[in-house]
Amino acid sequence: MVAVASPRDLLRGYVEISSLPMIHLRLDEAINNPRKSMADIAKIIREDPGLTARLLRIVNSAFYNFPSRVETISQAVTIIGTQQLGALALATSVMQMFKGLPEGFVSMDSFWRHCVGCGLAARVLATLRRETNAERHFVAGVLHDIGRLVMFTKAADATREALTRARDAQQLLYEEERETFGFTHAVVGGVLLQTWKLPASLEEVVMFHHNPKAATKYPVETAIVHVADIIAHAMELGGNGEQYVPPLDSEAWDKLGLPASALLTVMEQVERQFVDAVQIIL
Amino acid sequence: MAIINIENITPGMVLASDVKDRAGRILLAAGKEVNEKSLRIFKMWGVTDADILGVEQEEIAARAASAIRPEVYRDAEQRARELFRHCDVEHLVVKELIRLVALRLARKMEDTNGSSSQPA
Repeated sequence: MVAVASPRDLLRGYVEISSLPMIHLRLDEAINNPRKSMADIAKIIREDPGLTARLLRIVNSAFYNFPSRVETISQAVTIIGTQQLGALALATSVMQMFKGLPEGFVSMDSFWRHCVGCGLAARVLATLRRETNAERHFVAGVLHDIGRLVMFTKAADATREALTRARDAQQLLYEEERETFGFTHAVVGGVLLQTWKLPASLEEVVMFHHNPKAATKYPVETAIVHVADIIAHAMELGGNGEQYVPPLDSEAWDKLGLPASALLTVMEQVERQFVDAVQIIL
Repeated sequence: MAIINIENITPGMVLASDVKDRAGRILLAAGKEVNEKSLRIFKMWGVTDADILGVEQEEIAARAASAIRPEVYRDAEQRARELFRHCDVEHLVVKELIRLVALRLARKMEDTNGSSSQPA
């Protein structure tokens, strides 16, 4: 039987991911400190050349479609904003953290493709809703399945069992996770983001993306990623081990306040940005 | 008249009712003809559909599917339904998703077949 009692047990002793890179704490602190200027924030980002290069590539991609090239981080901060750039920095850095991990049941590449697809869909949904910081939804989408990576690497046997059962019985993998572990990857992800001291909104979105009714503080944010996940699955962008489209929560859809015709727009925009985004981010 | 998705609206179509942004501001009034510029403005303001005179929704859907052979579409739809087996297929949004996914799959199938076997 499985010897995993709680999501925390899974995370205990997982040194590689026990904390976020230092630069994020500093970046976060600077972004939320009114006394820090845009120049201060640009300076922190520039200290990490890898991050700087990744951010500039994102800003110059189909993701934004700016008419002219953005050459420096200072320009990027001015054009897309500090909060937004901070969010993008977080998304790419978390992916980097998991890069060196051994591949398990699905390839890392395929796994992150699903996550990027979900992030893009979340961002387009947020934009259609005229949300002020669409990047924050992109990050939530990218990180929504992070708990599954922890399960894949830290509880390989139990995960294999759940995957096999899901495949044989044509069941949803997250239901089988509940059966095997007593909790789903969503909860593991939520707890991980909590240990990383990331904003409560991100934590709640990740924790409840399969159960949006339970999101009491950030229902709209959660609904956005819930629907974005369904769209990414429907478009079969990458794969996270789940072979079916997760069920849609009708109330979550209603919370978005978007017409059904928005779906085609979202899918076409995601399609357009996906190849570019994957190339840059992965 | 019918509510047509923005991606299917082409210059020259005439609005049956006002197109508004999410704040309720009128972007183009009923009776006006849509052109390239107004389409760009609609997209910029997050408009996803508009009420168009003299067109039927089914007609647009049929036009989108016209390049696809019925048997290919049937296979694609079956595959889409399989993907959505854990969803409530009677839900309006799920229905629309299945239709879009089936269309997308069918186009891909036609593309891969077309390049090898289609007569000139």
